[in-house]
Amino acid sequence: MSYTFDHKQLDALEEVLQQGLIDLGVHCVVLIDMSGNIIVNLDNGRMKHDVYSLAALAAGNFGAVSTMAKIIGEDEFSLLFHKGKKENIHFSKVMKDFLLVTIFGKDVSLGFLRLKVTEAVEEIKKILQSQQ
Amino acid sequence: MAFINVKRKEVQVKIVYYGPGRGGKTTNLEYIYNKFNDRIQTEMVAIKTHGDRTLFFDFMPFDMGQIKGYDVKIQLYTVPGQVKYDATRRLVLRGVDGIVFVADSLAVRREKNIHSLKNLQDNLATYSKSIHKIPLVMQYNKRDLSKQGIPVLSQDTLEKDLNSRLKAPSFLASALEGKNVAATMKKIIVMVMVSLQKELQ
Amino acid sequence: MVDSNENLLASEVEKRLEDLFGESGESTDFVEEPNDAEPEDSPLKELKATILSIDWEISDEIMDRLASQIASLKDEFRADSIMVPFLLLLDSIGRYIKVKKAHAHPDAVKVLNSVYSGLEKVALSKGLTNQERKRVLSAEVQRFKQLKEKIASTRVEQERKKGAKRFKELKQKIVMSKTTSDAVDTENAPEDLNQLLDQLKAFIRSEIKALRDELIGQRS
Repeated sequence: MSYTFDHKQLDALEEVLQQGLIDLGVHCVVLIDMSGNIIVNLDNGRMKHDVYSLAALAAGNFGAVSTMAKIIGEDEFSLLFHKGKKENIHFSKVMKDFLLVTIFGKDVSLGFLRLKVTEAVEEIKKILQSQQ
Repeated sequence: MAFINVKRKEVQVKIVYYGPGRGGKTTNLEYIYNKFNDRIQTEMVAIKTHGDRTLFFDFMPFDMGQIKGYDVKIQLYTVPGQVKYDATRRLVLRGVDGIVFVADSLAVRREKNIHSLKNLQDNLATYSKSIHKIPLVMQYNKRDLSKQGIPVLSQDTLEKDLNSRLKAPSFLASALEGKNVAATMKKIIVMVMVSLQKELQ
Repeated sequence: MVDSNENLLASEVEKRLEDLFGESGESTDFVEEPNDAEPEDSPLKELKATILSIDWEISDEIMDRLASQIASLKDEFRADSIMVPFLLLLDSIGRYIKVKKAHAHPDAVKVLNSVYSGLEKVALSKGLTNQERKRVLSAEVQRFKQLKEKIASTRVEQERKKGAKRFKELKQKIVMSKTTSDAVDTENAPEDLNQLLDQLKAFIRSEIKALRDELIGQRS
């Protein structure tokens, strides 16, 4: 079983992520599916992360955290975020099958980033749902 | 579920090594990593518990280069074999394209192999996938142990126990010594690529 | 005897620990920040909590909380000629963020935080002269002004981009209708064309208006 998005969808996804997040000063954005595949990967040109491993771990981690949520009687957690000294990472579910991973430094406030991510996720939904 | 990026001309394929605990799944990946790392330029990611048991999964991505105009990226995963980690096993199986079932040839592990294969079938079913349809390769691991006089299951027994209905390609192997490790992996990659192509036509 | 054995062991362990975990050249002295700005028990306690929570989440609820805390502080400090303008600044940025949310300028939250630190300094540092307090305020006012300029210039830029995009779309429509009008849909063609003309006129009108607003804005 495989799936694909057409050129137009991928272009549109890149545009949304570029304008909504990279232009804001985010270091790296990766849209992945829950199997750990990378759909779109953008960065500010200065990042050299191993995004494939990152995607595999993010998908696994998201699955683990969702199961933890269920165990304590939550549907899902609304904030998935790790804070580091220089880099932070934020996860946001997109529909049932996708995950938006955002890596950003301390010059971007989490509160503002969350607003921008929410907005980007709405746009992404529209694009992904235009499939077929 | 392979993702095909038409824009970047890239295919991402997910292959999972499944099987009972301590059967040698991680050893398969480690051998590939150690033997071929200078060629495939990858990093192996492992999440382990105390005593070297796989907690979540091991992960090793590598680039196969261009095939029919597409950049093929292979992602090898292992699952934790221990029975109690069924939830994480299911997570790792999500979107799998091909499976290597690593069976333990040790005579005392006979039951464990059968249970693990049944568990694989059940977990695939939760993603509406059939063990009979997905690309699958059997690996009967730890053949080196017979040299040390440790009782191992015969190939016939293993075939009968595990492969009589599936009729998957199978290999006798020693992951520790590296025997048939690469062969197993090459076989599953070929099978997955063929099945992807069929599906795309 | 026992004592010296123990000492030997201890010093060996210490040496090993030093080998393993030693941090050469790094000072282990703590540099403590001057502690006079401590809002824990101050009138700013609640405001500080709100400013910190904006860092995590920007919602109407939190922004309203900010506005009401500023209002009560304005009352409390009404005789303070530095604090009142500080609170006004904070209020103004807060309102802007609340209205604009994701469309706010990315620097707005940074300036909000910076203005708050200035305000905290002025309110809680003991022994600042009036001159020093004024200097803190004017630095933040400067930052606020720069933010305003940035917001204005990005707005102009956005308008320009939007305009260019609309224009391109309309042009495309005209080209399309030209090439297709002979073959298809001849019945509706004049109507489409009229509609298009109207759109074009409206577009030009709005462009001129934007330009005029811009010019007026620059003059004032």
